[in-house]
Amino acid sequence: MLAVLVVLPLLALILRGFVAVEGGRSSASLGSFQKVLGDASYWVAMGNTLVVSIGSMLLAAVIGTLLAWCLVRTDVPGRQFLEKAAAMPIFIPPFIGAFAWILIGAPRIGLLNLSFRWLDLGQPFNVYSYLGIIWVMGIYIAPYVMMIVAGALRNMDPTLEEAGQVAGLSRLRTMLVITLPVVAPAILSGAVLAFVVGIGLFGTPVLLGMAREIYLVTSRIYLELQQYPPDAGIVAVLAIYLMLLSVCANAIQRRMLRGRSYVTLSGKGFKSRLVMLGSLRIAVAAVIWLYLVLTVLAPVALITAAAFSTYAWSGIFTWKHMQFLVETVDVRTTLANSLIITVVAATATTVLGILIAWVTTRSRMLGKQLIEDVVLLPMSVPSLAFALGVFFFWLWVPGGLYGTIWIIIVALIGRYASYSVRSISSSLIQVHPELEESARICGLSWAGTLRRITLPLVLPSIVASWVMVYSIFVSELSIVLPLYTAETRTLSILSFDTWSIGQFSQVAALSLLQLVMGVGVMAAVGLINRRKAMVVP
Amino acid sequence: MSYKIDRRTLLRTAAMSSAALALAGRGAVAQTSDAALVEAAEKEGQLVIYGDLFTVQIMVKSFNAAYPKIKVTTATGDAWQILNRFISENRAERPVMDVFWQAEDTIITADGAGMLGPINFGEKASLLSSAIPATGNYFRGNGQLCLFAWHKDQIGKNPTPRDWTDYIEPPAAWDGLVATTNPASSSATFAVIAALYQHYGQDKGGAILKGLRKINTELVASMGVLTTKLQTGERPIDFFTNSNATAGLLGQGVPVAVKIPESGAVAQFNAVAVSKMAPHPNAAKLFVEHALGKQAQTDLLQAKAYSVRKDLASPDGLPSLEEAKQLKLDLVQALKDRDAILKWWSASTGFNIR
Repeated sequence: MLAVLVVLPLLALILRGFVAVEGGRSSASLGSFQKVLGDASYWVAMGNTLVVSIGSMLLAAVIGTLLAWCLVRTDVPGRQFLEKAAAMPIFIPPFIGAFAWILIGAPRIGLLNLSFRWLDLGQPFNVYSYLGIIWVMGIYIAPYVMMIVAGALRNMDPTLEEAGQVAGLSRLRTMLVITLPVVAPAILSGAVLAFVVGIGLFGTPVLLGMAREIYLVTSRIYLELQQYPPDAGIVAVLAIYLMLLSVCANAIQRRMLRGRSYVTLSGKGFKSRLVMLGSLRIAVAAVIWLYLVLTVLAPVALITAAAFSTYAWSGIFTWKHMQFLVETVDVRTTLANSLIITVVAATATTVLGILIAWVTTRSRMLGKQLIEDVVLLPMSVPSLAFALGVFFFWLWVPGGLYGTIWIIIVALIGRYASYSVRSISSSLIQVHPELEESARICGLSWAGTLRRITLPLVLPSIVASWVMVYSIFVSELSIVLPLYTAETRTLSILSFDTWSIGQFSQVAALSLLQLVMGVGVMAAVGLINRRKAMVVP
Repeated sequence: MSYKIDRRTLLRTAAMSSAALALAGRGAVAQTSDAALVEAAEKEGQLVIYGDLFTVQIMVKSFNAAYPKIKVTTATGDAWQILNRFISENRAERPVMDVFWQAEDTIITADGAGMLGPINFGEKASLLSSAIPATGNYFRGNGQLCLFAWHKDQIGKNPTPRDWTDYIEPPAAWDGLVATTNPASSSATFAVIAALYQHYGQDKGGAILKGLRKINTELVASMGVLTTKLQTGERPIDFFTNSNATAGLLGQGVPVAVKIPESGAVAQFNAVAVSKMAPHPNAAKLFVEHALGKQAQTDLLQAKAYSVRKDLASPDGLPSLEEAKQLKLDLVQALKDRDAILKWWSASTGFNIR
């Protein structure tokens, strides 16, 4: 199954780069590579991808690390709430985040520029620039880094920092000299993830970059798909380039960590001691709130205002665009498709995640390491590249899935199963096998043990995994774009199409609907969990 | 009271009655045929339309109202991207699309690739002569005028465009205010650029395009994005836009001014065609009959698109296609010269084609 979900689509993608099709006949060729390597515009796109992805990675690493340290290791007020809220930007679809930032930072009409112009301070912001793209990508990717670094900080032995302070280091120097080096692998891991997410982003570069002819590889792929006749070979080569970038980033990470020991978690129990911020508490909280305003609150408020405006910033409000959501057949159809695809794919991904996590952490099956390696492979492949592989593979498989919702579901499972496996494995590792062995000794079958002992113990991580992949799937654009057909359009495709035809307020209304679908389910699951926790003595 | 009927009157009455009966009979035959088509289409139960989002939405709503038993699904988007999807599916023998309602240049290209089946329409006489191409398996479905538009509030007292040639030496005040689209991906843009190429020639036309670069014109991703930037005032002058988009903006109350260039606007058409491999051929035929019929064309007209029927007027506030001054465009020739035109546009403006 993993071969069909992961290996064959990736092979199809790679092979397509080495095939030339002329007059319906296919032959082996390096023509597509020659075209890409011989055309300066593709080199520029590759360079832009590197610049923007590295820039956004650095920004995300700085923001994410600072957020994690402040929220885990300091006494900033409301830190538990703020930690949850700071993860929210992940659940704002990149396309919607970019659209919102156009409303904030575009020349002439962006709210920030309007405010500065009103104060006679000119128009200092331009979201259609390298810095603008790096800013928007960086602030929305930062929570990935924050979550990874926060986990590492929680596991860090606080006596290391205490020793530093006893030796006379200031709080800042303790953080720089002791804390940072100790959590360096987590920061590096988060940064690599941020880089991989960044190179695969599609909505942000298209919305922000193309206005000033800043083309990234993903926007070049999009442009290639618009040309007639399309050159699938060039598209495949560009996707391979993205894959190579990911592989290089992971290789650099492994090389940097090789031979070093970063173990800080031993059998000895400890309790983290918080760093007291003193008079800085409120200032630090204000900065974190500013981050939330810039990434979540302001964009959502602006999108809401746009969704209820007759046009742009008319100042006249209407329900017309909400009626559009209720009355339009396209919205109903795509909403139903999105819900079916999202729920089925999230559930299947989680079930697959449980099975693979169990096999890799509990069984002695031959080749379990290979299974883990295969399932983790797409983690370093950008979504658009992976989807093109799925497209090339299934379009030519007789009686295959092309044209059905299953091709999208299969692509989502293949691309994101690694997220579930990682999430559930980490919980399974924490459950000592003794518990399961005791159950087996007491006469429970393997299935009974799994159902009555193992699964209930890791249920929170299973639910968390489901919510995480659901939230990703509900706004997924890059995977769906090459795979949808008339009958399988999703809400994200409808939003993108509506943006393409210039229906500004309708895009805002659709964005709101997507936000409700994503954040609403998250909130509902959170509420159910809280009630269960209150009921359980 | 008595009536005297002579033989001539009797014969005339008999002849008229026969003719009336014959006409009624013909109507009955046509109706039977329509009923059979409707039945066959409803048996198929489904119709897939690929095309332009603006008009396809209107058509689907109209068709659904008339034939609620047929489920219609659509894939819409940029013209060439949708054409690629259609051709890829057919070449892989996975046909999905029944009807193609898209810019005429993509329909001609699809026809040239042998992807379209024969098409017919029962009331051909009711269509404008311009709706029926000399050759090809398609009809024109609706039209639009490509003309000048600007945001009145944002432009203020600055000069506004009057003719295409204004761009040869554009006013400095337009610096950073103008936006345009890519003719390689936008059919409306290709129609305009091809018309400039054919009308003004490479040198003078090229000077117009070079002027765009002088004022830092922005190349936007699609006509829709162009419309958004006009609406918000971010780029308050469109090098050109289409009458459908401006009508929509005016309907929302956006302060937009529209002008037909002094040398002429460019007329551009969407066309309707049926796939040679249509999975629902009867539903496709029924859709064509409906789409070119009076009701659907009236629905298009109400959305400010130009109808292709003789019995319908032009959209409110716009001249008829016959009356509006236009730059002549030979689209078939332009498609033959497509590569040369795109290279000329790229060399003149400095924008990349792909």
